[in-house]
Amino acid sequence: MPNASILIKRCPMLGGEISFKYCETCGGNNLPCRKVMDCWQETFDIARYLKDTLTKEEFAAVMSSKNYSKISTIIAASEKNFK
Amino acid sequence: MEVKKILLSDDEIPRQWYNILSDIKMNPPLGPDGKPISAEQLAPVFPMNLIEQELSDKRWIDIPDEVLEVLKIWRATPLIRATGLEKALDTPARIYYKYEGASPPGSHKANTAVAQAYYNKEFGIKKLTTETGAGQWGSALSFACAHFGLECKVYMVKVSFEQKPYRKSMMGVWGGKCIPSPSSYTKAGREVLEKFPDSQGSLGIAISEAVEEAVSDTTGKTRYSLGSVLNHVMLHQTIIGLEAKKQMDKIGEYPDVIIGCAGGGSNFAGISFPFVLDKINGKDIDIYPVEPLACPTMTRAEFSYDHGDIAGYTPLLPMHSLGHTFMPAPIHAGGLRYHGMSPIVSQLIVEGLITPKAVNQLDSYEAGILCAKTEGIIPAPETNNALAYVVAEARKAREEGKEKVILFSWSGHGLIDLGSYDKYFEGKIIDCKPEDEELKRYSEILKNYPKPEIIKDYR
Repeated sequence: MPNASILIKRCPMLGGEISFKYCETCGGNNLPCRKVMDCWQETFDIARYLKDTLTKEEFAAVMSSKNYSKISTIIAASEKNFK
Repeated sequence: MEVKKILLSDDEIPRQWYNILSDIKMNPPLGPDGKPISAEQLAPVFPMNLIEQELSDKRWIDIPDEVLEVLKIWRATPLIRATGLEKALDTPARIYYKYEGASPPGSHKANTAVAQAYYNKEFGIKKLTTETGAGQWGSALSFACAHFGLECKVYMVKVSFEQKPYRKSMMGVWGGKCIPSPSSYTKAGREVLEKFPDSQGSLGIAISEAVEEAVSDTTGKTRYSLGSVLNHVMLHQTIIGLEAKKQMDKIGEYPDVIIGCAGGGSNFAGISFPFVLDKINGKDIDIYPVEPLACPTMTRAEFSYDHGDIAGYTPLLPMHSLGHTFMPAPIHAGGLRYHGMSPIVSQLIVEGLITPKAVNQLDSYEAGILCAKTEGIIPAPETNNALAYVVAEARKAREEGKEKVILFSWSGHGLIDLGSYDKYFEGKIIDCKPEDEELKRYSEILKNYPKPEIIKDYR
């Protein structure tokens, strides 16, 4: 696996360049982003890397994690906080 | 002398927006319980006057004078004939574009930001909150709030906040308060910071913070604002196409082809919907929304109800979808990142009124750079998708020897996204295309969801 600090990619959600280090921790509970496989699979063996660095439970959590689009997150936050 | 740009005087700016919902039938958006969502569910987040607009089926909606006063700062945007591009392509086509990069924040997003700020003020709202990724929408809303005396608070994902100081500066100049997210201002932000003090944030956290701040204001004077996806956002953008019709009429032209980049759909809606009305009434026009080949939600997906999120959490909307687990490949157009197309745009595809097209990233950047060299303006990366298809149509016209008239929307300038061009020049932009098998696998998931009634009025 290449040095993570020098891996840079444009994030399709944010619209800017970010390092792989960010992708590793920007998902829920500081786990990798749910898109990490899609974004990095052409760069290196990301699946192997994740299996080597995450617990089995963490790996499963990333693979099954949720994509909260804008509208879904808005509704969720509203229902949670409306007073 | 050949005409280069066609302008409108202030008193020629359209006085009404066109609401396409008066001319097409839509399947209603459904909630998680399978029932249509109600205005009451949206009320804590958005002001009721905008919710009413969201649900309106009135064909023409007056643009308030107060909104026009602000829009006049840069509108009407010029309609420019791309004579340099035509020459470079040696095409018999006549190519025109609406230059939306002329707005103070640099893109079409200001068209709805101004309207939304106005309606919120009319409803008695004192503060708007929103989130922003790269900072484009946050800039547009800050600009708009400044003109209506509203407080504006923008939660910008921390990693972008630190990378894009100029966006934060733009918001600050207009009085917008740009906060790196996660922040200590909200419960959502504090929870993240307590567990992960070094968090660089995410779009989901930023949205949660902005909505929390809006709906938890017990005075009821704060609302949240969204710059894409919703019907009233599309409505406010129709001023682009309505101006273009007047401008083309001035020089005796009418488009054979209309092209716009389409992510969430608002830029495409702006340039095309007024011409879709003409098409409904019998005009022969080809209308093309263009998307990146790396994330083909319109060109290779089935029409089905789909959750807008992988959790199956958001209301079910009828849209073209690859299935809600589809992960778009990394693309370099910041504004084009939704995996579900606007329901209205999806419906127009079903009706056969518009025909989606897809382009690859390298063609997009090549077209963008060609346009920058020949027309002078550096396009926003998402605009390049439209430009790639404009170039393809112009070349086709040359091969066929046809004098087509092509109209497209130049949705924004790319002056704050030059890093993407650097990446292209460094050879770091790559093309990737989902395989049919991959798309088939994702679409399997949709089999478990109800299929919308296919409504076709016009074909």
